[in-house]
Amino acid sequence: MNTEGMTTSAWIFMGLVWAVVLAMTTYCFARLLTSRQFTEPDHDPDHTPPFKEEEEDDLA
Amino acid sequence: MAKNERWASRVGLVLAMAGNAVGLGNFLRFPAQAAQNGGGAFMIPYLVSLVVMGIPLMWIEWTMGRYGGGLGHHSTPGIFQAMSRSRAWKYAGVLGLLTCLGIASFYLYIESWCLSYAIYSLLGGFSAEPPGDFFNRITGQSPNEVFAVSVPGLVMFAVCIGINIFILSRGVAGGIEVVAKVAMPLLILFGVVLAVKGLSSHPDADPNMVESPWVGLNYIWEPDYSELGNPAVWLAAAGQIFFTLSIGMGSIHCYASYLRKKDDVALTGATTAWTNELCEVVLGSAILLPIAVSYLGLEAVRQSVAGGSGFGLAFMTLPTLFNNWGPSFAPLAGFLWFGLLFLAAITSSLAMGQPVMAFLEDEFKFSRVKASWALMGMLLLLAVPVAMIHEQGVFADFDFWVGTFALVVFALLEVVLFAWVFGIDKGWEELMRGSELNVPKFFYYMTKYVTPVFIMVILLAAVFKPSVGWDGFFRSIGSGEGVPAWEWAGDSVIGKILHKDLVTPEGASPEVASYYQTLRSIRTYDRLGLIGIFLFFSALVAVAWSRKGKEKGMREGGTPA
Repeated sequence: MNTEGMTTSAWIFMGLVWAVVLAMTTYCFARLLTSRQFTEPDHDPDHTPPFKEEEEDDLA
Repeated sequence: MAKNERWASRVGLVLAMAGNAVGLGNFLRFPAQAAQNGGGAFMIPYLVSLVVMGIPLMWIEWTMGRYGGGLGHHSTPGIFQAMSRSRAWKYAGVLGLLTCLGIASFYLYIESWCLSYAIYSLLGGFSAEPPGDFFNRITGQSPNEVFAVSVPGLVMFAVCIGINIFILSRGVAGGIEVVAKVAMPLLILFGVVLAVKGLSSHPDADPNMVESPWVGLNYIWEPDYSELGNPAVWLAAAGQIFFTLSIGMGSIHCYASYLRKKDDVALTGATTAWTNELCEVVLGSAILLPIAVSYLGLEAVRQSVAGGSGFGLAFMTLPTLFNNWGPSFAPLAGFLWFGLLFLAAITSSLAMGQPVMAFLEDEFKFSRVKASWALMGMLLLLAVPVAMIHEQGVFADFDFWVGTFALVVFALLEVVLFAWVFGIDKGWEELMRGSELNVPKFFYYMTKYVTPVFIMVILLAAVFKPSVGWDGFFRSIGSGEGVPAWEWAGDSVIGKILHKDLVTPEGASPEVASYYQTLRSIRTYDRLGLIGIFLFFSALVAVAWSRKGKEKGMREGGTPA
């Protein structure tokens, strides 16, 4: 692939931004696919407090 | 009913959310905006805006959605009300329904163009017919004509609405999620094929090429550091983050409301945001401009994207350029390009329809099928003026008021509600419930202080923009010339109200003057129409909550203590 036409500074900017975006996307997907909620969908995380059901008392 | 629905899988949810975010703006608007605003240097304010505003707003919307869903609300009126004791917030949430419905009305129209172009490309139609002629044929538009009627265009528009309604009627897991699982990988595959083919071409091998496609990529990425100090560039970057992440609309709240109470939102939200960025920053920059520059030359492309949009290049020029890729590959390339745009559009338009359906299901106990028919009726009602009046009429006006301005207003309201009314401590606790990502604490302060200020600045800049632009304004002050004579920009909020972008040209013939006058009148009526839709949904909200209040009273009155 002939890449003439790209300046060094364009290469640097593009390379840096693409690297950040690719790294973050890969990191997030890797975390997601290895997470407990993914591998054990019915798992109930014990480190979180129970959800507080709040009654809406401000009905119009 | 909506409250019993759930996403079938987490990957499906991520793909549906990413599909919501990945839209036409990723492939058409982003490259044009980047090239217009300092190239590689644009990416600095772009990434800052992503971190300061985009990701915090994503998390806010995910958290609000899951919280409201846990209380049986899947649309923003109910979600907003659940987070506050004030009765007014549910009416602020109506803005989330208005934006979804208003944007869907013209977005579906563009979606129908994409479908028409994809089919026509595959049939080899663009080898004989210029794309501009085809565009006029499917839109019925001609210069200085207010009304535009095209039977084939209207049929395709109705088909697109029908496809969306059919998918939505299948439900969250059985419709939206299934489509996202197919559409998103296909979209990325189509994009990769086009990018590789475009960037691997070279003028030595193709005599029709005038420049290397890498010159186009260079045009997007070559940094112009002088632009970094330009406030207009920062505003453009922040605006692009709004469009690209689909924030400020109510669709993310709706999708997140189908999560379980302890499902993670922090990691899942971040994953969808970065997936969208991958499609925008990598694929979005590697297709449209490199291909266009290689066959048209840099200067022609520079003029084409001068308005900050790649629409003209995408629909009027690219189909012809694909013919340079040979008679066998050109139809396929056209199909891949417009297929990509169609898939990007449909995954977004589905997200716009679901909140309206969820509202009717939650608050009026509509069945899913009945809600989908109601949505179809509303869309058809809005589709008629959008499709049958010149694009500078209702189409452009809806794009500005509900597709741009309302998003910023809605985002400001929701960040105030989340961080200041609901309370940032409670909000943070909600965000971290079931979280599989340790969100850095600086986002806590960012969400409370920086994000609202950032959005407020964007809003004020959009309302009061001068005709010389903010860059011209500050340059004038910086150079010692003083404050320039004030005139509202045509694309400022005040300028739009005053029809500054539809001023009759000097010396115009009576026919042309009448054309402009009619368009201005139409815009006045369509704005009244938007206010009417807002009031209509507000009335529905009032009725629904009044009914709930009576039901609650009867329950409490009839139940022994």
